[in-house]
Amino acid sequence: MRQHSPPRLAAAIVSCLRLLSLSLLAVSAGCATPDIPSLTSADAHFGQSEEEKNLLVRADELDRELDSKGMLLETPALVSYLQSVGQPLVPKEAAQRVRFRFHVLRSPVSNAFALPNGSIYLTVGLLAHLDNEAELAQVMGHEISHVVLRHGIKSYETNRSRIITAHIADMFLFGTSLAYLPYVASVASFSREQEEEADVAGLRSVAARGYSPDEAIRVFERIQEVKGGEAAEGSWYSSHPSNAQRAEVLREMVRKGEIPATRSRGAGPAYREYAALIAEENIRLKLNARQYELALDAATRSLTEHPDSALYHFYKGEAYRSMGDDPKGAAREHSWIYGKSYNDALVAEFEGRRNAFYQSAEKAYQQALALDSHMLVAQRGLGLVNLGRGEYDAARERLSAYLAQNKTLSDREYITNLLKGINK
Amino acid sequence: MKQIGRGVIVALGLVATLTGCAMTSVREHPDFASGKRKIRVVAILPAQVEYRHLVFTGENERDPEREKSIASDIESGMVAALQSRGYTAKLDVVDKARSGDKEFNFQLEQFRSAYVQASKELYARAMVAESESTKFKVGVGPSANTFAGVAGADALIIANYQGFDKSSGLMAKEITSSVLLGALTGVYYAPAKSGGRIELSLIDGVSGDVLWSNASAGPVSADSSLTSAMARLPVVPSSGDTQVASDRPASTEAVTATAEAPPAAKMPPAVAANQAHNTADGSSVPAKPGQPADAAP
Repeated sequence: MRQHSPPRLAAAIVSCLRLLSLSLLAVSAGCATPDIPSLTSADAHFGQSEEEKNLLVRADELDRELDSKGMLLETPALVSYLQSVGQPLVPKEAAQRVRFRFHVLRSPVSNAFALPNGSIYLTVGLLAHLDNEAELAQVMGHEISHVVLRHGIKSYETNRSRIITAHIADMFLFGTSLAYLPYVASVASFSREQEEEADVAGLRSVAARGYSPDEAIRVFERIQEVKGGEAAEGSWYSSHPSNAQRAEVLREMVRKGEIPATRSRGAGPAYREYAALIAEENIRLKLNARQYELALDAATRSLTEHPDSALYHFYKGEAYRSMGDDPKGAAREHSWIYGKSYNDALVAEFEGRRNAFYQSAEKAYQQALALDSHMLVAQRGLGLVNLGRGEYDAARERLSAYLAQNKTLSDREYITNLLKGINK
Repeated sequence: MKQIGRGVIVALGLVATLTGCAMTSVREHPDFASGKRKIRVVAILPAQVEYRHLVFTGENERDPEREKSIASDIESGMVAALQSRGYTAKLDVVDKARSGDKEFNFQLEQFRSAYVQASKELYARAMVAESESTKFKVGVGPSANTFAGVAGADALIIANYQGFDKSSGLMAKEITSSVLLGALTGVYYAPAKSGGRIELSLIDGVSGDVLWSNASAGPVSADSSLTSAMARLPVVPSSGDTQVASDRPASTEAVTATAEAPPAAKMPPAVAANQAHNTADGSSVPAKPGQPADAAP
C-alpha cells in the first residue's frame, strides 16, 4: 500500500468534499416528480410508455406468483364481499382503464398494497385489526387512489432518476455508497406526499359512497395499535411519523366541510361476519411465523369479543406453550417488536420465564376443554406442556390418549415419535 | 513480501491448530453428528431461488426464467450429490408442487416460512467453531411430516439461493470507482460481476429437526456454490443400494451428476408451505413452530 504525504491527503479530502457537494446536487436534481396525469384524465395515456408497460408486466407476474403459491385467501363469500366494497370506490373513468381486483393475502404482517395493474392486496394481519366496513373502505380507498393517481409509475420514474444520479455521485465517492443514503430512504415506499394524497382521495371516495368519515378515519387509530415489528417495512402507514397526526389532518378537512360528513354507513355488522375467519387465519399464520406474542395478542383480542370461545382459549394456550418450548424464538420476536437488541441476556430472561409460560398455557388449554371437552387438540397441548416440563408420565398418558381418539391425525407420526422418546 | 506472507499463514495455522478454533460453515444436530439419527431416503423440496439482474438505472429486476432454470439445476444437482453420497433422492414433492395444487403449495410456503425462522438461529453467525458446529438443536415442527409422507422419505432437503449478476454499465461504474479509489489510496478492489449464496438444510421428516445445514457464498455460479455446500454432507455410513426415486417415468427420473437439467421452460416457479394440519375434530390447528428439538426428552 502506498503512503500519502499530508498535503496530498489534504488536497484529496478537499477534492472529495467538492465532489460530494456536486454529487448531492446531482442527487437532489434527480428527485423531481414527473408530471403524469391520473387515470381519470382524458389524456392519461395509460400503459403506453415502455416503463409503464414494464411495470404492468411485473405486476401481472407478481399476481400469478402469489396465486400459484396459494397465498390468496379465496373464500368465495369473502372475495365477493371485498369486491362489493372496493369496486364502488373506483372512479368510473379509472374503472374503464384498469380492472380492479381485491385480494386477501395470507400473511401475518399488517400491510396493504396496490399494484399498478389494479390488484389491491390486503393482508390477513391488517384485516384482523379492522373493526368495521368503513375502516376497510378507507384502506381500500387509499390503495385505489395510489393506482388512480399512478403513484407506481411516478415513484418508478423518480426513483430511477435518483438512482442514476446517486450512481454518479457514488462513483466520485469511490463506491462508498454514501450517496445512496438519501435514496434508500425514499425508495422503500411511496413518498409521504403521495401517501397523504392517497389518504385524502381515499377518504373523499369513501365519504362519497356514504360511509361515515369519522368511522373511516378511526382506521388510523387501529393502525396505531399495531406493534412496531408487525408493520411491514414500507407499508402505507409505517412511512408516516404519526398516524394520529394523519387522522387529525383528515378530521380537520371534515370539520372545514372539505369532505362531507352527513352519512353514517359503515359501522354495521357486515364486516364482522368475516372477522372470525380472519382472526383464526391471522393467529395460525402468526404462530407459524413464530410470532408468539402477536398471536397471543390476537387471541386475547378475540376473547374480549367471544369470551366463551374454546378455540381462542386453545390458541392462547398454543401461543404460551410455544413461548415455553422456544424461548429463543420468543426472545427474538420480542426484540423485533420492540426494537431491542437480541442478546444472551434477553434469551436468558425468556428462558427464565418458561415455567410461567407453561403455566399460562395449561390454564388456557384447561379453559378450552372446560368449554369444549371434546377438543382433542387442547388435550394434545396439555400433553406437550407436560413434556416441556419433563413430566413424562403425564405427557405419555395425554399424548397416547390423543392418538387413540383418532386414527387420521396429520401429526400422528410426530406425536408417535415424541412418545418413543418418552419411552426411551 | 512472499516470505512475510508465508510466515503469517504458517503462524495463523499454528495458532488455529494450537487453540483448536477451526471455523466451519456447517451446522449439525447432535443426534445426526453422532450417528444416532440415520437418514437414507431424502425428499427434495423445490429450490427457492431469487435471482436479480442489477443494472445502472436501478431497475434491479428479478429474472423469473433464470430463476426457474437455476432452481431446476439446483434440484438435479442435489439429486446427484445425494446419490453420490449414498442417499436415495426423491422428487415427489417437487412434482406435486408443480402440479398446481395451491393448498399444497401454501403448505410448502408455510413450511419455508417456519424454516426461515429456524435459519435465523442457525445462521446468527456466518461461521462457527468446529467444536460448536454439532450442537445445533433447531426445528421446524411437525409440518415436515406432510412432505416426508408424500415422498416416503426419512428426511427433506431444502435449498435457498439468492444470486445476482450485474450489467456492463454497472460494472463500468464500479470499476471506475475502484480505479479512482485506488488512485487516491493505493487500495484497489475487484468488483464481482455475478455471485450468490446458497443455504442447504437436511430436515428430519418426523421430528422436523434440522439435522445438517451448510451455506456457501461467493462470486461463483449456483452450481459451484451447491457443489461446495453439499461436499460437506456426511456420506451414508453403511453400504446399500442407492438410487434416485420418484413416481416419474424412468426416463425422466434418472438424474445423475452429469445429466443435463430439464428444460427451464417446463419448470414452473419454485414454490413453497403450511404448518396447519387437520385434527381429530376436523378443525385446522396451527403447527408447532415453537416445538424445538430439545423439547423431546
